Order: sequence, then structure tokens, then C-alpha cells
Amino acid sequence: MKFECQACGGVVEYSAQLDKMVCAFCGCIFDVGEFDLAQEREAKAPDVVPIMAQDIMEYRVFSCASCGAEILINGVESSKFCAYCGQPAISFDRIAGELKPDYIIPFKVTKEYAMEKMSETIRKAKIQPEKIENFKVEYLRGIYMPYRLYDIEYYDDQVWRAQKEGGYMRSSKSYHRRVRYTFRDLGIPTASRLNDEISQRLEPFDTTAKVPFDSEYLSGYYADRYDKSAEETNLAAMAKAKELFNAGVRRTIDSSDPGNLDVTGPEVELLESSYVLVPVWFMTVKLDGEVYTMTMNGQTGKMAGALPVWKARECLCFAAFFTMFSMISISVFSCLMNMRVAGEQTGHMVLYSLLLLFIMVLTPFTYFKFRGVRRTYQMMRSRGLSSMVRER
Amino acid sequence: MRVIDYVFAIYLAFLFAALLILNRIGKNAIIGEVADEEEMYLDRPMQIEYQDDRVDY
Repeated sequence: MKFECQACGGVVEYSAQLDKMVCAFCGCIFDVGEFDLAQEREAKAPDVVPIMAQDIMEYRVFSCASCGAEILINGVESSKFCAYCGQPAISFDRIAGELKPDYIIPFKVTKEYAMEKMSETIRKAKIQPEKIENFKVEYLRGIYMPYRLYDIEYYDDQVWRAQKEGGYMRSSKSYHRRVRYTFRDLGIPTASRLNDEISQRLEPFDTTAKVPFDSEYLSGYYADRYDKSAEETNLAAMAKAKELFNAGVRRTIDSSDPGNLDVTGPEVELLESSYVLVPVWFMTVKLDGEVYTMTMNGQTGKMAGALPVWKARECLCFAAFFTMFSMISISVFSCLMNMRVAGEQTGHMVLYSLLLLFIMVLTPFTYFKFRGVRRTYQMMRSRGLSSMVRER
Repeated sequence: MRVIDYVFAIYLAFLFAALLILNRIGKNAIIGEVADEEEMYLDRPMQIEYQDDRVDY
């Protein structure tokens, strides 16, 4: 299926800049919603032709409405471009019926802006100069990713209890709260390929800008459909609401240490959920032979990604820091060992123990920090993410 | 100073250096802040129906 220009018959695409449908050939501009999908559908023969091997390969074939070439779509795609004539194409069976989204947040960031900003970020990055010189944008794809938005009413009767012991005294503080809060448009990504780490870095999306779904917005872009079940996303939404609610209640307690949540009995009501498509720009970049995926929020222009580290420079910095800290640390330990309190070499033991305690706290902190950085890199260089862009 | 003190001192230095480098990488190479979900979703005041704070000894 494609949208044809009423003047020249060319293919019409959605323009993020104008928020209109624009003909790629004659430049005619049309309002979104001007094309009557139902009529076009009736006029044309069904364009989806399932193939025999679809159950095995999880691909379907449909004919391009422009040139007639056969286009393969995988299990989660709704729209893509014809590999032969390059025209945008939308698969009807994926956007109709039960899979039809309720809302869509249209692209606001244009392809040119996304390309310019992403390239500028790479050029300005503190990475190896040779890599920047040889960097090559492989693909830049605008993809609508599926989200589910929830309205949830959360009510809980909570008691937070903090216990403090000091000498013979043992005090207990309790904070009792009965609180109600309604979450609006709580977003949960429903495509497994857009993992939580990426979506958290791409958010927030301004959900007030969402409009009722119209397939015309898909023209010129790719679109994925959800592959997580409703049960799975419902549970994720409930868990998120619980975490946020508890954090919110904690904030109402006027104490730096509200203690632990001791009594809770939440009542959660799912008021409404809607299926919405959000705009994301994906770019795969080849830097010195390695592929990195960068993403950009197609509504706000916020970027998320990980660039290669200039290993030689970081190693040099590490060596410098390590030498400097070693000297300081050895001096501190040496001073402690030689310290005399009232003629006895005992007072330093307190400070020495504190230092060891400090090391014990710092070790897991450093480990988790390292794990976080490594996870981000693994995610941004994962084959799943880059193949999602490259296979289109 | 004993050998064990040198080990502790050097290990502490290693931890500090590693933290600094990880922070540098996080700042220079990782793009995009993780969104503050509390700020996003707890943007309205919570409706407190009952409140009682007490100290017991």
C-alpha cells in the first residue's frame, strides 16, 4: 500500500518538518488524514501474500504498490521501503485490526537534523582522531517503536519504620501514610528489541502531543509492532507504578532516614491502557570497522548511545591517576602506622579500621559502576540492535 | 609499614583511579542521561488522606 499524490501520482510521505503529507516528486502538500484508506483498500487487491515458509522463517511477502516487486517483512515490521524502487510501503495487515495502534506521536525531528546532530556529536567526541576521520554513517532509519501507556490509580496504607540503637537507648520512629495517586501515561516499551536501558535514555516523550493513529504518519518511516504480551507489559507497569509510588510516599516523610517500608497493602486499579507508536531515529556508524548504534528521540532530539573509547589515552590517564593516588595512599597509610596517641601506637587503629571500611564500601561501588558502563556498551554494540537497523 | 599495608594502600589507589576513569568514560563516551522517572510521573502532588508521624522509645 502507498499514498499516491492526487496531482502527479507520485508517492506521498509524511514530513516531520511541516506536519503534512508531501509528494516526493512534485512537492504537493496535503493534510494528514486527507487520504481515504478504506477506498484505496477496496480498490486494490489485497497486497499481502503469505508464503509457504512463513511459519518457519517468520517472514511475509507483499507486493510493492509502486513497482510490483516482492518485499519481505519480518514478524515485527509494519512499514518499510521497497528495496528496488525505494518507495515507502505499508503492510495493511499489520496496521489494521487488533494490531492497530490507538495513538501515534509523529516525528518532529527531520532526517537532515538527525544526521547533522549525530554526526556533529561523533565529530566532537573525545575519541581517537583517526576513527573520526574514517567514520561512516551506514544507515539512518526513522522507526516508530511501540509503547503502551497506562493510567493507573494506586492507593496504599503504608507504615515506614526506622529503628535506631544508641547505648542503652533504643528508639523507634514510625510514619503512617494513607496515600492515593493516579499515574497518567505511564510508558512501557513493548518491543523486546528496544530494551529498557535504551528507552530510559531516550525518554521522556511528550505524550500530550500524541494524536489518534493514522497510517499516513507511517509513510516515509519504518514501524515495528509490539511483541511483548499484554500480561507482560501490565506486570511491568504495575511494578513501575509500585516503585514510583513508594518513592513518592518516601518523599512526603520529612526525615533523611524514613527507615524501611514495614506495612503495606496496596490497591491498584488499571484505569486505561493505550497502544502508541513513538518516533525514534536509529543510526549505525562504522568506526574503524566496528559498528555502533546511536539513537535519537524523534520528538525531542535527545540522543542516546555509546562511542568507542580511546583506549591508549584512557590507559595513560589510568596510569597517571594510579601513580598519583598510590603515592597519596602510601603516605596516608605510612603516617597512620607511625602515629602515636599518648605515647601508644593504638590510636591509629581506629583510623586504620575506618580506612579498611572505606575500601570495603568502595569496592562494590566501583564494581557496579564498571558493570553499568560495560552493560551500556554491550547494549549499544549488540547485534540485535544494529541488525534491527541494518536489515531494513 | 608492613607488606599488607602496602597492598591496602595500592588497592585503594587502584579503586580511586578506576572510579575516575569510569566517570570519564561515562561523561565523554556515553551519550544520553537516563530519564528521571520520578520527575516524569510524580509531577503532581500525592493525595495524602491520612498522616501520622510518631516517635516511640
